[in-house]
Amino acid sequence: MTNIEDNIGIVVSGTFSQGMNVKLNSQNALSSLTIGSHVVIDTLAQRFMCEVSDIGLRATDQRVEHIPLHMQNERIFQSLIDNAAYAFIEVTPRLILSKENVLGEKSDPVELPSANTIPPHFSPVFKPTEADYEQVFHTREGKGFSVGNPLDLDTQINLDMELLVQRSSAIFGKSGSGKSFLTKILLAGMLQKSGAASLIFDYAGEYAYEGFSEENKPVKGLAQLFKNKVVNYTIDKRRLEDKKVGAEFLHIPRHEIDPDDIALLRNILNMNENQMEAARIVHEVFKTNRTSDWIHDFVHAEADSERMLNLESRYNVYPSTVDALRRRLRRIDRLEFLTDSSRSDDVVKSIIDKLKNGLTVILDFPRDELSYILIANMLTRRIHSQWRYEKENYTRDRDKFKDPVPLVITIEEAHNFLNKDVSNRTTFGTIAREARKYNVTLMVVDQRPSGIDDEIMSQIENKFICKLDDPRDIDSIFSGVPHGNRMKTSLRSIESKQHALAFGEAIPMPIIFKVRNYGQDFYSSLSNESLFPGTKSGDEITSDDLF
Amino acid sequence: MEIDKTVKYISKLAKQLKNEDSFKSNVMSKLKSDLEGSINFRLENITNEQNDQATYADLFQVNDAAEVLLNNSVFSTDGSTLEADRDLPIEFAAINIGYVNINYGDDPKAEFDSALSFYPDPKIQEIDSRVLSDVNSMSALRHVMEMEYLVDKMETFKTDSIKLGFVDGNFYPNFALSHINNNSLKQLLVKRLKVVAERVMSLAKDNTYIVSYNSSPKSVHITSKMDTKISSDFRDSEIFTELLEDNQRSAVFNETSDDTDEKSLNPISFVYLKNSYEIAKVEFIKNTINKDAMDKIHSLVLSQVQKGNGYPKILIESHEQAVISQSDRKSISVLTERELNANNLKYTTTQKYQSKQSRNI
Amino acid sequence: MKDNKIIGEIIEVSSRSAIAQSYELYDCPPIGSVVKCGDDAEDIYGVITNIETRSIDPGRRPNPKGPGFAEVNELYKSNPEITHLMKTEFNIVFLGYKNENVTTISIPPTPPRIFSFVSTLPEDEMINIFSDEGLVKFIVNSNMELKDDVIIMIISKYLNSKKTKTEEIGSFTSQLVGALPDQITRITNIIQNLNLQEK
Repeated sequence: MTNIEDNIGIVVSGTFSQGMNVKLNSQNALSSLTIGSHVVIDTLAQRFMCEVSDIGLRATDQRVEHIPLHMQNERIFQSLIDNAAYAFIEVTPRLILSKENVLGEKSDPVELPSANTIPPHFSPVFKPTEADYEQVFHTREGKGFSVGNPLDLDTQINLDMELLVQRSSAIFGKSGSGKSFLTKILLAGMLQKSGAASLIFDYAGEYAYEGFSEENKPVKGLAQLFKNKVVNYTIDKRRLEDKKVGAEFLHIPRHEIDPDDIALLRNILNMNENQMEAARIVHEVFKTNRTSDWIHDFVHAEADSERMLNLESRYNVYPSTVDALRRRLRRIDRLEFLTDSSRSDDVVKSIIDKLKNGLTVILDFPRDELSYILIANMLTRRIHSQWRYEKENYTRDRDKFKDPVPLVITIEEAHNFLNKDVSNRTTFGTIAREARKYNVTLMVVDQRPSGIDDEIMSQIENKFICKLDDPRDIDSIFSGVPHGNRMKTSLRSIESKQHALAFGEAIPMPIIFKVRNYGQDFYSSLSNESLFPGTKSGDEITSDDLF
Repeated sequence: MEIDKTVKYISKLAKQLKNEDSFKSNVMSKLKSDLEGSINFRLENITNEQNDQATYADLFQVNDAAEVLLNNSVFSTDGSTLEADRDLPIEFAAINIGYVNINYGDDPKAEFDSALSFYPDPKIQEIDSRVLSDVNSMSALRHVMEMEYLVDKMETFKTDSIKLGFVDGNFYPNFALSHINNNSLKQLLVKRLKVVAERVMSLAKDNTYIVSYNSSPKSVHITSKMDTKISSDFRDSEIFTELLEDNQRSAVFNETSDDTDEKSLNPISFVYLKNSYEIAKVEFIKNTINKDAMDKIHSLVLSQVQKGNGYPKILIESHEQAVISQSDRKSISVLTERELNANNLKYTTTQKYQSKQSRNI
Repeated sequence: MKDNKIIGEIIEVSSRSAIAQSYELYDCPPIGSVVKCGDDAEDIYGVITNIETRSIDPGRRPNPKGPGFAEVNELYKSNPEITHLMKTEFNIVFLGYKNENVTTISIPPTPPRIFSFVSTLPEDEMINIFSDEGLVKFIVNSNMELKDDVIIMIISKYLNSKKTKTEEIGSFTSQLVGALPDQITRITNIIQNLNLQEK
């Protein structure tokens, strides 16, 4: 319980809707209070966990602002501070904590009720203790994973990974804000604790194998940390030759591409509306059966071939449009990883099977935007279709069929798939809107959240925000979020790239926290089983084993 | 009141005074030369310090002030009378003697005291109800009591410094004594004065002196003996204003008197003293103060006059001490009424008194 | 001035205040001092808010005695009757009382009697009274004269008796703010005018 000497202030006014005003006993407390930090209001009956939403200075007499120059001295200031001139904080009660002892390690977490009333006048206010945070972030045994700690305490913030994967999540932050490391930590947590499969579209090649931090220090990838649980694919044959990288070549039949996939490439291919429409017509004309290689066929068709002539005569597609379209589709046709139908091995199926077994699949696209966007949507469409099929079977007959394993699809540069123009045409938009209907959720990683459709944003129920500057990006994240304005203010206190704001269904209360270090300590904290299959906990691990 | 008539009368008097002043100024301007011209003119019935016949030459004997002694003690008494109210069923009078002593020098301190006496006093048969209403009797009695109290105090006060006692006015209450009709009272008072005088003379042997101080006296001891040009119009103080510089004193003079009563009293000597404010007459018992002592007394008197801004401070304070204030008079009146009522005596005044109090139309 | 010295007697009294006359001219503690005036049963404490010296006889006024004196003491020495002709009176505003060893900051239930002795307090007893947190507010809400000067005296005296001053100033400021929340100018004036001695 709190020590009376740790009392930092008392409640002096406030309302439920606007928040409580706390007069601070000393302005020294300001150095440890930031927007978004937490305090505890301890009354006789209840203990409120509150979030600081505003900090200010007040005076009993406004004329303190006009103290004459000759009176501006240390004695006057020291006398008036914390008396006539005092600091206050505005706090929002979030949760009501139990006043009993801290939960034991093996006990089930108690869902703490949201605050639905306010504390009385003069209730004392304290900084939260480790026990308070442990009460808030207590998870079921085996399901909790530490993502970091509160800004001013060393206690862990554990999130229930099973809960996390049940809803779509997002990690937002500007370039260099640390969102990739946070993403890796969350992915590691999901790998270790959630039992969900994970499909990661790794745009920059950051997640699978060794990379480098901003300080140019080597950092391990998920494939290195979770050897048997992670499978890596790449579209770049040169990376296959790199012995350090254990990846398979990803090849996808070209016939899998449909006009909606082409539509996503509109900006990259610089296609206008006529060309978009022409692509649909071409697809209709050249896709004669399920495995027709319509792009290849169109690109290589003779100009005087019947189908080509039909385009103009029957479908009124101008020859210039046809030519422009051919030039553009030729780029796709040339992509190495796109194959014709003759290949018997179905990598996509293989990927799906791995996912169904609960593995994590990382698809590496070394900053090839065209390939990334094309494959991400196409592949996801296929996978989603499979999950939907299996879920519908399970729903129909639970005895005969199994519930598909939860799947989290991680996409970077998500605005390409989820912007207003295309979100209703992409599989990602569909997944986001469906919530977890078919056991598939998204983990969206983006530095331009304002590019994401508002409707999609509202479906993303867990959000992790690293540093963001653009007001449009900030506004888009919080639109429709209860107390969003106050949380928006708290974003300003994120200065370090190792700090993030988290809120959502799987997060008991909004919190700005210090993301745990992604380094040696993190690697060591993961279970031996994941690092060294076949070893038991307690077996000695040497540094040769680690590196 | 007839304002016009009053203004006219006062104006006439003022003009008369102006003429007199003008005349006097003229005479005074030539006084010294006139006196020098008749330097051996005899002042009848006046002797000088050496007990020789005093002449004009003695008028030119002046003395400067010496330096004030640092350590000195001054004393004074004064009295005030609460007259008998003839309208009251009980008739009584009171005399309050105020006393002050101030010591200067290494041990500065002051003492204030007062003593209230009521009359008739069964111990003094001579003072009956008729005496109470006789102003001169009461005045003389008061003067005697002042002197007795002063001498009592000075005799008991121990110090090594010079002690000087002040009496207000003349040394003896000559005028009042001479107008007392009650002979037995008069004799009593003279007797008591003689006793006081003996004690004063005894004190003088011990560096303790008693003088009287008369502010701007109207006396004509000297001028009445001068030639007619002076004698009819001038007072002693006017002559000595001319003859003395500031802070100087005249020679000592003695006047022989034919008055029976006064003759039986120890004779008095006097000097005139000019301070920066006025001429004062200082009287003392003859042969009690030699020149050396008189020099010291001269300085002390001037010092007291300076402290009092024109009048000896010690006399000012003793006067204040003696005064029966209005509130005290009122208190006595209230006490009288209460006592009368307590004894079931009707406390009424005469209708005459009542009419003065209520002043109805 | 010695502790516990009887310096005068009460000559006028009401529920909230009294006027006392000192035995000796000018023999009175300074404004802001706390004195004890009471009967045998109960000690009543008051603070001196005003000191007046004047002629005993209202009809007589002092007139200047100088020039010619190098010092005032010399003047007094040359006129010893002065101390008998004037009197020093001081106003006391009651601020508390002690009954059965308990000191209460409040108007006493009954005022002291006329001719009650007025005496100085030992410093530790005075500091004890100054440390009561209700004292400043009591003074502010009272109708005594020179309130702010009295407050300044009390706080200065208290702080000078303590080794540390910074926190203690804050404590007194807190009391002032509680009593005068919207009078920051007055509060800063009081603090600015504190007479704190460097230790």
